Amino acid sequence: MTDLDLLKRFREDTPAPTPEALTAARRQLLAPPPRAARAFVGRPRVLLAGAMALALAGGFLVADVVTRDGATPAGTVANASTFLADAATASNADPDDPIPPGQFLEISYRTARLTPLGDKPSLRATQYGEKTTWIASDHKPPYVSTMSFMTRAEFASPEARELARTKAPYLFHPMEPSVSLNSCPTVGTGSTVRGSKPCEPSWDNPTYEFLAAQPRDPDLLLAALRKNPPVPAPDVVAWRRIGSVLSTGLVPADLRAALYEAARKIPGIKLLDEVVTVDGRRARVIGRDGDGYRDDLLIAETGGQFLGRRTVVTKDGPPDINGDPEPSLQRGDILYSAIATTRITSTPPPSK
Amino acid sequence: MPHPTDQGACQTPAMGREPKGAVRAVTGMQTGTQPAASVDPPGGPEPPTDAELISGATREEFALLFDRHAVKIHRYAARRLGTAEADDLLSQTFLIAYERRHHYIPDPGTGGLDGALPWLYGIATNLIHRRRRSEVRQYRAYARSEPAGRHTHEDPLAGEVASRVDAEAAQQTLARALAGLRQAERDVLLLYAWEDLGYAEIAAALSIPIGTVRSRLHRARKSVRATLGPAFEEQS
Repeated sequence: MTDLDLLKRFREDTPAPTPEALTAARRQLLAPPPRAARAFVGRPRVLLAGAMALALAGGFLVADVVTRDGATPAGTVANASTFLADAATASNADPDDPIPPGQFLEISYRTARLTPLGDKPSLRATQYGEKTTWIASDHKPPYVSTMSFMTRAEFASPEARELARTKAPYLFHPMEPSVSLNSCPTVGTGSTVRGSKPCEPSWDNPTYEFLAAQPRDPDLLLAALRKNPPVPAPDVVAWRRIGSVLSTGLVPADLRAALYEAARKIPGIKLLDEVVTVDGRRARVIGRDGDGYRDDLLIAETGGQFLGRRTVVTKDGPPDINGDPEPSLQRGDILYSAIATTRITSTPPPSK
Repeated sequence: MPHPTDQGACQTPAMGREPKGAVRAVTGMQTGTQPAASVDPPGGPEPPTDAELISGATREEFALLFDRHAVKIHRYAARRLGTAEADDLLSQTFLIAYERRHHYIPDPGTGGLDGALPWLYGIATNLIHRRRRSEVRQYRAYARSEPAGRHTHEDPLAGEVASRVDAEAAQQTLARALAGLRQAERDVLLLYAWEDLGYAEIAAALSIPIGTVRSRLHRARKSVRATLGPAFEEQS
């Protein structure tokens, strides 16, 4: 046997691509380029699916919205406030296009989450999920959605893959997105048309009526965001609710502007580095530190568009849900993120 | 999905490959449930060449090039990076190829059905460069892993088990050798050994002279053989 013989056998058992992988790649090739789509179907907006998606998926994380967080120089509250003020002004100056009759607002989410499997960074996986919702021109239900909590999983190492076979076997069973009819434009309590509960709108599960009813005055809006917090930390809750509701893709430009203005009033925010989203858009990061994590909003450098949301680990071994150190997570890891692209389209939603 | 425009090999005319004894399937998808129609229906007209597909320039026509070569590109990427990364890299490769289709120069000598493969391999290889750490990490992890069966010495089939363990140990040594190669040498070696590309095709894929392909391949094999040990050093 020669070295070439041995080499030819190396990883010879690599499996062929799955039909799903081929279909997805081919679909991306056939998808119209963003610039052309913009001209044809209207003005696409890139948004981030945050807490709403988390509520749906039991905690989606965004993986590839941005790359690993680098050394982010500490920003200042003043910089963050100025940037948000400019973003608010830009949002107010650029109202949303209406949805023409017979067409739809298509909101597509892509999410990802780091899943620890062991006690070191090489022992973890990333789960990817996606969801698409179609909104008719009258904004009325039922809303058609396709959703998969996990379309695929990636493993940080072969050891992680092996470990997952016993600790997280579900990672080997990705789901095809399935179609559902919903009574809420997002997925939350009472969202299923056939369910017994009515749609219960909230900041994490908003309806158009809920959003229309919110005040545009920043002080009143911030008070509403702080109201009835599920944990005794109103500013933490308000900051997360801002990210959550912006991530739904439903927020009109004037409310987005008011949310930016309200965010300026939350203590502890800071302007961080520039990042580039997976679809190549440049964003500025506004972050707010928590216990071992930082919740970030990604906003377009110009124009005020909301691009995404993520949670970044700010210290090695941050606390897990039980308060114990999570050794597989390190400072700079992006624990989760989600990105959503919206566009006006004449293509009807799938029926099954 | 990003649409990078500054990547991919600068295409040079693909030249004839050296005979290496490997016969490559040239048309159609190679798994059972692909999404596209065949480009060469039995009894139908002559299928278009890669150059004809690329010159068509519409996405639908370009997708036929995808149908023809996607499995090969994915397998190449998966062997270097793992399946999950290959899934991403596959779409990026063809998106970049589509963006750069006007840079493709068909080989006037062969013009075969699969004439664009070196070009696509070049784009994929450039994308793999961006994930070099991931690739090397995989080789190192494989080199560290314990051969299956090492603890089965009490198995009544101990002889067979030992042979298998030896073979796996050799593969692990090879993984260590691959991890230690320079990126440029690894590119040439793997395109040669795994993808059965000839010198000229590798030169076209990587936009380097044929002489450079020969020298890199020589250095890579020498390095691998040295790592594998005396049993391999005298063979070629």
